[in-house]
Amino acid sequence: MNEALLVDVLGAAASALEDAAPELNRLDGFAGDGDLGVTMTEVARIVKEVLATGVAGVPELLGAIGTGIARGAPSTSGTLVATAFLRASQACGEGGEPTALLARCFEAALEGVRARGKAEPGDRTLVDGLASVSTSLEASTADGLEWREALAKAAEAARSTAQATAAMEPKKGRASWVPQRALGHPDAGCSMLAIVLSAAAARAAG
Amino acid sequence: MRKIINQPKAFVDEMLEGVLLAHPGSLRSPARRVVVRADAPRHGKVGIVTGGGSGHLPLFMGYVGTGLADGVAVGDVFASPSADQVLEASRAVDGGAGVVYLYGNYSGDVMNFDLAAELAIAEGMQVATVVGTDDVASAPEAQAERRRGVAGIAMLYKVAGAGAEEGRSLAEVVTVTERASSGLRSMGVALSPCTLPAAGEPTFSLPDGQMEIGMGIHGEPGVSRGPLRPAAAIAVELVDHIVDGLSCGRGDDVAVLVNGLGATPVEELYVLYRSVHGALVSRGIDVRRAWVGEFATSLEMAGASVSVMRLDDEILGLLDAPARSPLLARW
Repeated sequence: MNEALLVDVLGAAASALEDAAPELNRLDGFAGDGDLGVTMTEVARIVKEVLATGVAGVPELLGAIGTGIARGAPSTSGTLVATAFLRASQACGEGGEPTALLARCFEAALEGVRARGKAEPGDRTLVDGLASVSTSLEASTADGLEWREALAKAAEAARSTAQATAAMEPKKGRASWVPQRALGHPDAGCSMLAIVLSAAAARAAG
Repeated sequence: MRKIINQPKAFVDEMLEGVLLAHPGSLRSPARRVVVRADAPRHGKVGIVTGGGSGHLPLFMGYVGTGLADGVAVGDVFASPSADQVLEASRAVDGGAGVVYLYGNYSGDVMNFDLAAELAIAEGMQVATVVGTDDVASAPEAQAERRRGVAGIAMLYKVAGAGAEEGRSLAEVVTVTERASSGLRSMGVALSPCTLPAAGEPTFSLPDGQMEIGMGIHGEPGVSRGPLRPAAAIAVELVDHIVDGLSCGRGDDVAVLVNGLGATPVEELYVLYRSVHGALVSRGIDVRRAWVGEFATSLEMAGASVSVMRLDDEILGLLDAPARSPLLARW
């Protein structure tokens, strides 16, 4: 995966994130404070800003995005996304074959978000989505899939996990104070991940 | 809403401008919503960085001073500062001996301080963290590490700040502050809610003549609500809860801090202190030091909290070391 392609794919994901803002606010509003879309609009703006500056090197680019989000979107969700980018940046330092690289990045992002947010799989948070994506990418690496195909499968895993969260009670964060109100609606964080990965996979597929 | 403000949205920044205009010799601002000691960084001294939401003065900015913290990241009202603010504060106070993050245990603050630590370490700084978890009402003793941090942190600033001022190493400052923290418990009572400037409405409702024992400094639910009782009864209930968890008894030395939440007069705090002192002494506990006043407020919430810290000679010595800040002349 070269840098120009990564810039293109991340740009498409950021645009999809901007478009999804009202939907993310709506989903977050069922049990949270209804501002995930607001934060993610800010995240998308920062991602595009960093992409436009033409940072050289994949780890450097991901690191600059993480630092930018930490600076510009200090809410809980912003901090978690910043952590995911920073960990992914560290994980891809050694380079390697693209599918394995993606798997390493998402595994590191999962671990970072899990530790920072103190959430475990099953708590109905972004961690559930990242865990399914990480597992999918690991399987694709083992199966020797080409990275575009692996990304498409990961997006599919993110979508089905987001759907599955609709039947789960939230156990972390503000939503856990009123767990019943969230039932029947997919988790906002998992939906966000499904949206950006779907957009990234579609762009990668050309 | 009866408040002396301009635009509600400008509340935090105008408050900060006021602080900097009033105390130019003691404090400076190296970045937006970051305030540090005017003489920071001090070469070879461990730096102490704190921070949290606004609305609690003198917490957190009031503890930036000699023998206390070196820098603070100032959040919106009741909201965490960003990791970037914490990082800016760290850069401004790091004198090469490392930085301790000392703040209260709230999920947003923990995430941002942890992220800042990651960024600071990547820049080559040494960073260690001690989180205040003194509020016994917020989780049972078995899960003490999950408790929120409240007014007791004022005493932790003295311990950590004095240790750093003496020239102790990062590890030494952390060890003694953690020991002080493990022997520190607080509990409060709220009599009326507060109103966030930007919200305009009280954060919760508490009918006249009612009190809520154990309520948090952001209006988090407490352990019991009922008719307002006399100061002596409140003191006994708070001290019972605190001392149980502290396993503190006859012959033990403690320091006590009685804190007003913003709208309770200091006279009432002394009335409360009188009974707190009595409740401790009746258990054979020796009150070696006491402070009464406003140390961690919740805007104009009425009520008070009591903090008790177990002492040993080393911690008592650090508590007695000189400490002063422009916002807390007597501290």
